[in-house]
Amino acid sequence: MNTMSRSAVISALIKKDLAIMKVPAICYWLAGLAAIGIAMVFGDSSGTVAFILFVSALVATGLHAAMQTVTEERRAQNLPFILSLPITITDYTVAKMAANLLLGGGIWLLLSAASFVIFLGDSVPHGRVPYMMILLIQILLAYIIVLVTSLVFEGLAATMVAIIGANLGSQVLLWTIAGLYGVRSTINGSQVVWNSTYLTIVFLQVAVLMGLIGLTFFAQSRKTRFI
Amino acid sequence: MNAIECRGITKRYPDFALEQLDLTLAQGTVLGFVGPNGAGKSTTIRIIMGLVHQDSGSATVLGHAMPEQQVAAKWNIGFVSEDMRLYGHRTIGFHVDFLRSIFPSWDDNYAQSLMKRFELNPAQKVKGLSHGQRVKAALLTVFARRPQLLVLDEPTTGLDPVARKVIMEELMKVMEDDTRSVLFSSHNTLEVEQMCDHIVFINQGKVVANDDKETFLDSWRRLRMVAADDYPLPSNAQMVDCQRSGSQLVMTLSNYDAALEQQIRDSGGEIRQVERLTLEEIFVLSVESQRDGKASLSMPRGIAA
Repeated sequence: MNTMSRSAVISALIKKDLAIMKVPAICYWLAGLAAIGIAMVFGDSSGTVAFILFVSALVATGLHAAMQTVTEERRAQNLPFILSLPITITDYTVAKMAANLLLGGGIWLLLSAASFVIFLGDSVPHGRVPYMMILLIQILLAYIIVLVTSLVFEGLAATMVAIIGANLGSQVLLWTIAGLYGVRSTINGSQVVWNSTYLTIVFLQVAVLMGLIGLTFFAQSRKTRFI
Repeated sequence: MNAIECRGITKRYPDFALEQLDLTLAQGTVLGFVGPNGAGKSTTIRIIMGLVHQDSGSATVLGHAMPEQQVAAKWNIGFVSEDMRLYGHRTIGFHVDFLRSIFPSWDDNYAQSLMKRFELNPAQKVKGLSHGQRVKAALLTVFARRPQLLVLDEPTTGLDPVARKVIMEELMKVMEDDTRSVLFSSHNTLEVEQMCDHIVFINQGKVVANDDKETFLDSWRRLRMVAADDYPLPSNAQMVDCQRSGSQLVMTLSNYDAALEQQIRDSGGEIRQVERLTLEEIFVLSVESQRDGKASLSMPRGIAA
């Protein structure tokens, strides 16, 4: 049969989404790199500015990617074009997950690595590293919540609710975590301490993240109508 | 092997149901799928494409069961629908490159010739195209794959006459390939009459009529005649419509033939004129008959005013 493998088609779909998001993604990456640069050059005095720029770049990449490649594709009626290709809804979901994780996850990894380098310097108490890790995972988790909501519930309204809910929920969660004894007692210390509080929270975050991805594939496989 | 074979397809929504739909598209033929808005054409086509799963019944496309084997089937299906859009912020060339990377059957020479014939510029962004140009671009993206089956869901809706003519001419060319099958859904019965070998009328989720084009056109007639109030129509005549004014009777039959005409004369009816119906008239009368619940009405008794 004159056909390509499924993985090659999925790969073409991923490349297509990366091409569509190329310009905004480059802008966000540059903003993120600028944040790292500011933090490295100006040190503590630039902390707030660099942090806000850094988080903005991170959040914007993820949200823009999810909105553009999933929600907008449906709104702009591109979905019949894509789903008429030789793919299943599972292939489509794999392609969307992969493209979005490459876009949002890629910048998340780069900026996370950079922030750890900064945090492991002498200017910031090392005790904040575990909390920083939780914050970074929470940003990724909030992004995944938006992505899976847009995939499963399909509409703009549901995606907006997910954005607001994930944002507010993350803030409440991070404030709550900051108040826990296991966190309070180590966050300003000079040593990195991975106590059971931190480890439990990280484990739960990763479990929720993996669970959401698994649930997305389950929900997609149960659908009987795609356009 | 039939290109499409649907048997007893049922799909229920809160406000609409497709009921026990049977549909067959023979290999190498063109099937016109005609129905009013909301009749179930697009739902049927989406089931055929695996985009909607039927509640019951079977759909086989190019020998593959849908939706289970949709990937194997879709390699050889070219699908264009009225509500399908290419990426607005991307160029036509972007779409061509994307599809070329997926379909080994992509025919670059044909794509380029279509680009010229449709007066499309590969560097032009889709959002800047007129409606007619968008439809042409969408058709280019499926024609150049050289699919065995084309599924076209109202592709010419909203086109100006010039764009429609160009597209219809190209469709005719595409259909010169005897191995290619086409399912063509449209409101435009003139287009369907031009293009199709076989026609299915659908209304309110049910197939109203299903026959080859020549049979439709040959078996439907409007008879203008003079007859008494108690004129007994032959029992085997299927009357779809009847209007009387005094002794003047205008009657539409769906199973006309010369023998029936003779039977009508023999039973006292004086036929003044026998008129052929256009496909549009046949379609409208079929839909109205179904709505009125007299789809296969025969009138053995006298026809009153």
